[in-house]
Amino acid sequence: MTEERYSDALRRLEAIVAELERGGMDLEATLERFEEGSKLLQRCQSELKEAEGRLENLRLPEAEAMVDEAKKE
Amino acid sequence: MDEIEPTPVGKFVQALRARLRSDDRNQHCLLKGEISQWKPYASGHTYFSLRDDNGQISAVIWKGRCRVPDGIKDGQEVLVIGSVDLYPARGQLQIVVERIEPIQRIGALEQQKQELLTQLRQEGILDRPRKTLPLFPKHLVIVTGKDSAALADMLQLSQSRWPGIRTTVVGVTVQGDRAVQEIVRGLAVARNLHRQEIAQSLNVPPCDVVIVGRGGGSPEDLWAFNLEAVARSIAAMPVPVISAVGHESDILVSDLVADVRASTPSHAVECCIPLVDDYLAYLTDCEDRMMQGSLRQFNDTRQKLQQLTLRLQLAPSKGLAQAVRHLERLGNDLQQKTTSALQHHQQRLAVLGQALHISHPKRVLERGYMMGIDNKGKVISSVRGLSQGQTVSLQFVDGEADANIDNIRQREEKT
Repeated sequence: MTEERYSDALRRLEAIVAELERGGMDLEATLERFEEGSKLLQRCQSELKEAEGRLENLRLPEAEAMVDEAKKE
Repeated sequence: MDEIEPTPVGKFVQALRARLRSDDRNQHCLLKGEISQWKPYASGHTYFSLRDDNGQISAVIWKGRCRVPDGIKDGQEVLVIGSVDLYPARGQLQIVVERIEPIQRIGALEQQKQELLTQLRQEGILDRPRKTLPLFPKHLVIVTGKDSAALADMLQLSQSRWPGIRTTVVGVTVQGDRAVQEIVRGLAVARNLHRQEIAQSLNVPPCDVVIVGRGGGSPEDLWAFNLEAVARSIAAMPVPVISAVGHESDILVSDLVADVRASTPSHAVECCIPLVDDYLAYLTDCEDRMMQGSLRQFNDTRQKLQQLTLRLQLAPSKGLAQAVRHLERLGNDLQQKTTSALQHHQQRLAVLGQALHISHPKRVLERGYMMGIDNKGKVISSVRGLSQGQTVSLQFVDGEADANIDNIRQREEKT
């Protein structure tokens, strides 16, 4: 998922929360929104984990070598 | 007698050279003067004299040891950093140049900067739509001075905001002759790390934010960030670039070209890395609100359902009661309408009765009139049909009397 789509997920989640808070929905719609919102939440939370990773502190030649190596594969 | 051994001149010159070079005052001197006899050689070395009105000294720029700015010629005023040396082969005292800058260089650079900005504006690069930063980077690439204080600050800050956030630092030279080339190459690394196949092969998410910059310094130190190659690299980057050069007051071409301008390197980190705790709290808040909202919806629906059930349960008896009330209302209406109809008729009857009373013959008789009745009991209303000698009965109000008809006088009828 790209960043744009991630932002979209969060925006959609916000919209669903607002809709549920506003009220006046029937049971079926409530269930649908709740299910969709739960999935979006899970997605957002799992995306957080994707941001975790190593710190690579490289000098330019090392960084270039790393990229060159990756290009060969 | 002791003989004084003559010193071979070469040895003398070598010793003199050693003495000269061992004196720190002769090392890395900053000199100002005018260029004369500027001679670049095919070998790559350049020889000239640095002079002013009070003296002069030979100078040499060894090939590859110092970048030679374009456009230097005789008569040019320059600043030189160099060390004193003696060229033994010719016994010539000279300055070995480590750095040379024309004195009006900054003014000329400033003009170049303005020309570049004009050019970039004409090409629409300055006014192009900017890329927005993601909510948080999944792979941040920082192109900055290797082992610099600015880098240390950025790493410390980013780890405190979002511990363990994935970062690749590309340490480059940010000032001097090689700065532009290295910054451009550093940005190229970032662009490569954005490529799906390269990121995949390195088993990392593609680079999605780039910070390029350095800490504070003199205008000359920062100048690489004013140059065209760096500006174009930033503009061509497929992911958002934050330019973070020097201090708040330093505004460079890279700042004007980048997607986001940060006033300092630390500010750049604040721009693109949110506080992870805030972020988690926000998601938790969304979850809570969604739960609450849904529960309220369910409760609302349940309440509506309960109300409906209740109404349904009550419906039959409620229907009967309603029917009874309806009937009662109808009954009342009927009675009321009947009564009023009766009253109406009674009144009418009374009126009629009075009218009848008034027109009763008896009432007429009471006023002194008499009514003649023939022997068949019929009221005599005309002289016609009467005959002489006929007996009629005269009805009075209080009795009757028989009378004989003597004369009959019929009035002529008017036509």
